[in-house]
Amino acid sequence: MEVRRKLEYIASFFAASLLVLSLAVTAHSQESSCIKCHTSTKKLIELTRALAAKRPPQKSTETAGEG
Amino acid sequence: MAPLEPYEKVLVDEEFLDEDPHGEMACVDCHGGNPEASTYEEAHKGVVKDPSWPDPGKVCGECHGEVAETSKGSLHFTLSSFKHIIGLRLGDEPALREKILGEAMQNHCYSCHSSCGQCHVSRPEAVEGGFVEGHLFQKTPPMATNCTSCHGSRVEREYLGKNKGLPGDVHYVKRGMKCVACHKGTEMHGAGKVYNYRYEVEALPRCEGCHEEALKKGKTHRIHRKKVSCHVCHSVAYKNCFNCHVGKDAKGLPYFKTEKSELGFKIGFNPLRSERRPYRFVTLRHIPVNRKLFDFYAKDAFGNFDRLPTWKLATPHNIQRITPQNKKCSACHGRKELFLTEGDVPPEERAANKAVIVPEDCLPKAKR
Repeated sequence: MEVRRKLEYIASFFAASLLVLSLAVTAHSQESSCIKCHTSTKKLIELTRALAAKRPPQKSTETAGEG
Repeated sequence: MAPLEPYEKVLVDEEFLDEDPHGEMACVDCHGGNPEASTYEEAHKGVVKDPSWPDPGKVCGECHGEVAETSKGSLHFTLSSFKHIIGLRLGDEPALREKILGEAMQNHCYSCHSSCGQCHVSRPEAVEGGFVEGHLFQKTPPMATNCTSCHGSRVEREYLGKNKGLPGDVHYVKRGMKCVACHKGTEMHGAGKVYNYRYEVEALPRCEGCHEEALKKGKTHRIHRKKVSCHVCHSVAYKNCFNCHVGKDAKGLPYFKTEKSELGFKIGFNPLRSERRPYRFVTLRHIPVNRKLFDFYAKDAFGNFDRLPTWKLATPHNIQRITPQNKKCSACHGRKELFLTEGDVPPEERAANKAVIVPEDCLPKAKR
């Protein structure tokens, strides 16, 4: 009887751990497209170069003097 | 301040995710967008670059409610003094006022605001933005990236001693004090009021806050206190700008042009005398304003140009214990050239500066 209870405890512990782990993985994967890109220097260099080629900065060259 | 590479501006430090409490929230909670998307366009649809602007209450206010609420009135947020001062000088016609206070100021002035995020996360947009430290929140905004990056031409150059031949402020040179040593969060975050002039802000630093005892001690302090501002005796030459005009180039992009600034030092009558600033004499700085500033938008827009002086109350950030004018009594008394007199002001600006020009018979007499 006691062995059975122990086994039940172990089983429920594993089940709870699996649930926590799966929640953490889900949360991580949810923000991964933002995080994946914004923490990667390589990806950002490629992306910002491509964007700059498409949309050059809009700033007047006539501005002169101290602001 | 060196500019950031485009990728550096948006590169998130992984430490932000692990160490910063704000990193516990999902990006989408503050910035919106679509975290499931796989392309740049889809992912950034609806993204809010600065979630704290224009409403600090929306995101920041969820946890920092009180500060977010008062910040709505802070000068960094509202630029209310710009609007008030320009509004006073404008002509009275409603269409003209709408054009300048709306379109022209939107194009040339309002980009200089700041927000919670533009002090505590990124460099201000006015200096092209970019994370200060990989999106890690800065409890105290760093001086170089978030204070002097905007307040550069005058404050930074004076305070750090970058004006040729002039020393830096003693508070910085001797004590290494950064901006926040005097300009505390209570001042920056506002009090929930809208101010017409920055000198109306109650939480502005006061020299007496630290130097009360010194002010009671010396004879010179006892004689001059409340008659002259601290800066009259303790600051050195500072920058004056005399001209500015704004417009749009052939591509429709807004620009401004200012003429070369000049270093100088002028004492004049206090245009904003109050209980807090009872001094008769203060230091005055010429500001970059002239009658033609908004000519691109409307000829002679400043129909009430003479309502305010072009030499404005100044609190230069280059304080010294000993200055050329406080070495001895005769270094100031009888020294007409230190004062703003009629001859210093071109005829077309004399009416505007009537209240601050010191007439010959009011100049401090030479001591015998």
